[in-house]
Amino acid sequence: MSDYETVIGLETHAELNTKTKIFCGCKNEFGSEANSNVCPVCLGLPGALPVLNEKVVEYAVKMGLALNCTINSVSALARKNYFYPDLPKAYQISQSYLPLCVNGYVEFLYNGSISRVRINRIHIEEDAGKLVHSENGEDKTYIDFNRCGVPLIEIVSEPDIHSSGEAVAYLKTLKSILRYLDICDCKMQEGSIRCDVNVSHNRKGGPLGTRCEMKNVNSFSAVGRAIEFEIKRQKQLLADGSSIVQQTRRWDDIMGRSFVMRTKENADDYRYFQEPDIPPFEVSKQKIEELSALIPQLPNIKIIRYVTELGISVKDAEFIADNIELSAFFDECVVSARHRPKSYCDWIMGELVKYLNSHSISFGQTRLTVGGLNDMLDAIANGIISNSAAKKVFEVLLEDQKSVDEIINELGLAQLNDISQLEVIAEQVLSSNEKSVQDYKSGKTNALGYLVGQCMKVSNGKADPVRMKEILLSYLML
Amino acid sequence: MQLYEMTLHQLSEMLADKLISSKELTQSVLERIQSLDSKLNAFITVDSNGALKQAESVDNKRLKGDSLCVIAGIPIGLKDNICLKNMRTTCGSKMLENYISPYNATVAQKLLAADAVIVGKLNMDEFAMGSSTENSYFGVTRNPYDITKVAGGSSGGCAAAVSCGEVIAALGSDTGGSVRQPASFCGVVGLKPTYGSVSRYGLVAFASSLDQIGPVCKCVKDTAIMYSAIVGGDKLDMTSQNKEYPNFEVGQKDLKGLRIGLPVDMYENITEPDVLERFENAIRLLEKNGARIRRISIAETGYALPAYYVISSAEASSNLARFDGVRYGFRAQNIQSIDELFVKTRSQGFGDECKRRIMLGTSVLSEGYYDEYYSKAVKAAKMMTHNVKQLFESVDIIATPTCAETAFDIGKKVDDPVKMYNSDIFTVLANLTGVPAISVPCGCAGNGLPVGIQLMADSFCEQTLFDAAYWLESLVNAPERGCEDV
Amino acid sequence: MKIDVKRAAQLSKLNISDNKAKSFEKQMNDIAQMISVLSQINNDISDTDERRAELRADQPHEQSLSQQQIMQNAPAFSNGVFCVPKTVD
Repeated sequence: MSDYETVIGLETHAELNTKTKIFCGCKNEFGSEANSNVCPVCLGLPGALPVLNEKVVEYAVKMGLALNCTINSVSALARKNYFYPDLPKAYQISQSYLPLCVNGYVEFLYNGSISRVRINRIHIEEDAGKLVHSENGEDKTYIDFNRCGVPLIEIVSEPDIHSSGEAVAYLKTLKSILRYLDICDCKMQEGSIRCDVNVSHNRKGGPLGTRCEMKNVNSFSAVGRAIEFEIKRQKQLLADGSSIVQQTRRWDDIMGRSFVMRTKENADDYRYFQEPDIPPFEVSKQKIEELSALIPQLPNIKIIRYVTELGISVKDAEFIADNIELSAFFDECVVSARHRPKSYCDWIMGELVKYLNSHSISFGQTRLTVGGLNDMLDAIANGIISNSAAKKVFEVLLEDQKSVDEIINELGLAQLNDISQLEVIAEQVLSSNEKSVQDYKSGKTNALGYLVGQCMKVSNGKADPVRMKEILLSYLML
Repeated sequence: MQLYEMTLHQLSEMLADKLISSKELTQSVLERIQSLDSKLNAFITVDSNGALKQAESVDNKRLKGDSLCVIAGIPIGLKDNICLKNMRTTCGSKMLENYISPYNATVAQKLLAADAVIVGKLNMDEFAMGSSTENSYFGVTRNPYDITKVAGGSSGGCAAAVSCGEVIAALGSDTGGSVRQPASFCGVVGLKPTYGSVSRYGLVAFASSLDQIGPVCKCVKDTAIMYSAIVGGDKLDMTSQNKEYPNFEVGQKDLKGLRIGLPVDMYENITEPDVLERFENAIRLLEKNGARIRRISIAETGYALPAYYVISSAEASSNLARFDGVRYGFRAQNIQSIDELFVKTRSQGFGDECKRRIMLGTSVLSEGYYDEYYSKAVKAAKMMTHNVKQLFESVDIIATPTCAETAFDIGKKVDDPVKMYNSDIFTVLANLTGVPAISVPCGCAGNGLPVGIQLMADSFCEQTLFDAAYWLESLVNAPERGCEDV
Repeated sequence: MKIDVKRAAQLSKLNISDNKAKSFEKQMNDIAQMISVLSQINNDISDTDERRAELRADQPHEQSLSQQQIMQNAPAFSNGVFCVPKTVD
């Protein structure tokens, strides 16, 4: 119905969890007492000079490889010049002309199909300090420079995103990849991952419209809301016959709208030039190979595989893939091929999640093994234990290193599935529950459930309820 | 002869032989400062107590029999853009009038570790921008040879102090000639080392790709000693080069066959005939004693001054942006907004020359101008680096006068920046190409003012440079080492 | 090249008084004239930087500043934070 389409590009900043800052040996730590992790370099004192941290380059290269980028063998830093109280040198050391990673892409499942968003570049830069505005009418702003110099990677997407939902899916994908690579703790509430959003609107098949940038979008859901608002705003302007002015807007999540920050006319001229204090640096082919070998199969790829090849639901696939240890476990199970992927998935999403939540622990803290789970599923399939007994076995497998057989014996969970014994129980129960028999024969089908229950009682829960039911039915049919 | 008149190497021997104490030597120098500096204004900060205490402690070490470095106990001055803990580092500016660095520059650290006695901080053009020290917030430094003349800049304080014995040696900084030109004006020796051979950590940056700290001394031998004390790679400075640097010694007085190139097409820039005369006299002496002189042409030097001013202003505009009144330094009063904080602080804190260079630098980096000016300046510098490197395949030394003129009158050029910039015509090439260059006195002009000869060698060839300079110094009728009466 | 003194001052956070502005304008344009020769340089000339940096290991240092060291030079510092007029985003 609409002959217009929305085009969205995202610039995502992620704080790297290196031990020290990007240009000095100050600790890279969140939550320290204000201005306690600063030195001449990150405070911008006269005469101080930056020294680049090799780990920052490594982490950025890993992300570049994970996003299928070309890693530039020679890369250089640049100064981005502007004045702001949280920027001690009045320039940010970033990258301009020769970024570390270029021309990549990321694929993820969205709305039932595989989305592909191209990555324009990934570059390294330093973070600025933190401003806190006083509330008590004092007209002052306070600055903490602990965060100044914390290493950032900026991931710039091409404008390949077309809806707010897709944007959020893209961001979630980046977040899960960063967690898998263990290079960012991704705590949006601590600011370790941030996003600027660019939105434009154009006639389908026509040239790209003027884009507007939105800043201060502080959560994934806020990204969704900000985009929706911006789409509406642009649509309205175009419908009125007005043109879109290129501008930067500030998103206010509480008010649910954005405000103009600056237009192109009064935009800063950043006067980028190559950082003279840091010569260009090299990333060798060998280093790239070494880092490449450290990258596991990534969560976005796993989700696609789980859903399209293994028939797992999207929600379950996302959950499993989000946790690197859990998905490694799941993958091993699937490789063992002793049971259907869905069976593994059901136990993970059911009993395992329940256990992890109630005990507030992570999967890595349990003792569950692939062999154990497989043996347990075997026992169920062979009728040795019932489903409900299996739950008890499962709990022990999570906590102990015992074998399934040991557990079944110790807890006396072995099901009774000897036909002759079950027939004895059936006859006993049927003969002492005349009324229920009559109820069933007269059409009350839930009387069967009652009879099965009675058999379970008589057998102290050991009877195989499925077989019990079959046997009762065969008697009742006579 | 007074102690303050002697050279570093002479004094070092006397200290080692215990013929004098560092305390006596330091006292001699402090008294000299006391009697002269109100006239000369070479110093911004003098730390008499600290210096004497340090001198005494060195004397004690020597008495105990500790083995000490060559420069132990020698009174030295630092240009006031080199950070030293617990003393002001003002950079000749109101902006840092009361700034006290919490850390030592690497070179200062080295001097302290070698037990040198740091007497105080020396006057300079504000943030090293200038060629006369007239741009200092703390007033001009006068030339000891003639107090109506400038001492040169931006390391005017260093050159004047060494010249008249207020210190035995000094460390200045050189971005476009700031060590060599004042050395030439004041009749002393000044070295701009190979870029990257001396750490810049703790040198308040002016133009990051051009700045180098260099010694100002009474003679070439002293200069080699001081350079040896500060040379070396530094993990705190990524532009410094980690190489094996030897202890630089001088001794060879005979360098028959030394190939010296003269870029004669640059001589049209010499404005005083006496300068050319003294220079050519020195060259003739060298030739008479076996040097092989040849005329050369350094291609495209017409771009040197423009490229220098574009690159240095661009980097300076960025390096000086951190002076915003937020974390240290001067902060303007009566400010109602953050923008006022920035604008008032910077407008009141910086002098005119700084403002001019900052605005020039901002302009050449701006959208629309970057490609035409900054980018081309960088290309020009690369071109000249290549040209000079090629020349050094056929010559060992390139010689020019250090300056086109002798020390000019105080106040003469202040209103004409382009005229002032032209002073740097011979010196900027070494900064743009990174090669080392030294200025050695080669006599006085008819007006009684010193003339300097500049020698350049290929990168990391300081030994060749020292050898040639030492030889030259021994042949030339050098003026009295420095100036006795002021 | 004509230097826009007003724009340059704005970007550099400098205020040039009206009476200074005129002389600045002249001086800066004299300088601009001097540097204009650079536009003749051929764009084909390489400006690649051949140096290569040596990176540092991700290890903490001992150079953290104490509150006292910060306070020694800070124009406005109390309760552990620097203080400036309210900054509107």
